[in-house]
Amino acid sequence: MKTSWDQLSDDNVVDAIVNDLQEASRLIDRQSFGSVRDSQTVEIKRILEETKAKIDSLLERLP
Amino acid sequence: MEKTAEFTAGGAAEYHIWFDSLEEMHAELPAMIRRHNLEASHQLTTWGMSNDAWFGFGINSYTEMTTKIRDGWPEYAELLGKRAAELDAALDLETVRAMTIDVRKRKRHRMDQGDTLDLPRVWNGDLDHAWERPVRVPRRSASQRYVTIYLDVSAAAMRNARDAVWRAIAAKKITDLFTSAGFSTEIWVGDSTSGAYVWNQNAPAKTWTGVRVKEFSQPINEDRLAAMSSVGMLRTHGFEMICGSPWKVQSSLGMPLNRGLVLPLRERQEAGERVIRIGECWTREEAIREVTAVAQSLLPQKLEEAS
Repeated sequence: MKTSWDQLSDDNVVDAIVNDLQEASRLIDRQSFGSVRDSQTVEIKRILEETKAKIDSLLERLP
Repeated sequence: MEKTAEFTAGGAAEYHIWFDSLEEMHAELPAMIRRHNLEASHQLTTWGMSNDAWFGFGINSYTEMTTKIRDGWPEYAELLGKRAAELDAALDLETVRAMTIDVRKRKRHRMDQGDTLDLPRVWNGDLDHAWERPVRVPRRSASQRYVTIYLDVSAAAMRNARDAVWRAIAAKKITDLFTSAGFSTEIWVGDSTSGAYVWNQNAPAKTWTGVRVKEFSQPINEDRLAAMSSVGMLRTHGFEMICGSPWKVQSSLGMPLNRGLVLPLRERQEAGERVIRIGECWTREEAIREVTAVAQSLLPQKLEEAS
C-alpha cells in the first residue's frame, strides 16, 4: 500500500487507487495473511482519507 | 543454492520458492529477504502478538514459535497424536481398514493339487507339495510404494490457531495411515498465496512456497513435523519465504490461495507420481472428510494397480 502519488501519471492513477482500496479492504476484513492492530487501522484510515482526497481532486479536474 | 522459478501457466504468472530442508532455508532465506523486503519482514515479529489466537497453545512470541519449529514441539505433537486417535471413532472404519490392508500379490503355492506338476518333488515322494498354483495373497508393502505429502498451511489472519489445529491433526492422521500401509513418505510444508506483491512491478499474481520436512529415506521427527504443521509455521517462516521474493511485498503479504502445489511437487504429480495435498481444514468434520478422501483414494485395488 502507501502509493507515492507524485510518481504516478494520470494513466495509472486509477489502478493505484483501486490497489490501495483493495489492500486496505483485505487488511481490515482480515482476509489477508497480515494481522492488523488498532494502531495500524488508524494508519489505514489515514491512507484511505488520502486516497479519497486524491479522487476528489481528480473529479474536480473533470470537464 | 536457492530454488526459485517464475513462469506463466494458464495465462497467469507464478512464482515458486522452495528449500530442501529447514536448515537450507535458515542458511539461504535471510539474504533473499534482505534484497527486497527487509523492512516488511520486520513487521512479522509484531503481528498478532496481542492475540493469543495467532500462534495459540501458549506461544506468545515470534522467537518462541521459530524455536519450536527448529527444535520440535513435543507438547503440540502429543496433542495432535491424542486428537488424531480420537478421530478413529468417527472415521469410516471400513475405509481406514482398507488402507491398512496389505496389497495382494500372486505367490506360487505348492500343494497336493494345482496347475503344474513339479516332477522332482514327485520323485522325492513329496506328493503333498508336488503341484503348484499361483495364489493371490496379502503382503506387506513393496519398497516401490512412495507418496509425497504437501501440507498447505495457508490461513488468513482471521483464522484462529485453535481452528487450524484440525489441519495439523488431519496431516498427522494421513501421515500415520500411509506409514501403517507401508508407504515411504516425503513430507513438505508450504503455502499458496495470491496478490502478495505491490502493484505495478509486473510481479506474478500467485506464489507457492515449500520446505521439505523429511525425505523418503528419513524417519519422521514427530516433534518437528508437529511444529511445522501448525499455523505458526505460516506466520513465521511461511511469511518469510514470501518476503524472500524478488518483488516488494504488500503490507498484508497477500491472501490465501489454498490450492495447487509448489513446483517440484507439481512436476512429480505431472510425471505420474503420487502426491497428496492437504489444505483447508478448520473443523473436526472437515478433518474427517480430508482423511477419508485420502484413504478412499488408496483402496487396495488402486494400490494393486499402482504396484
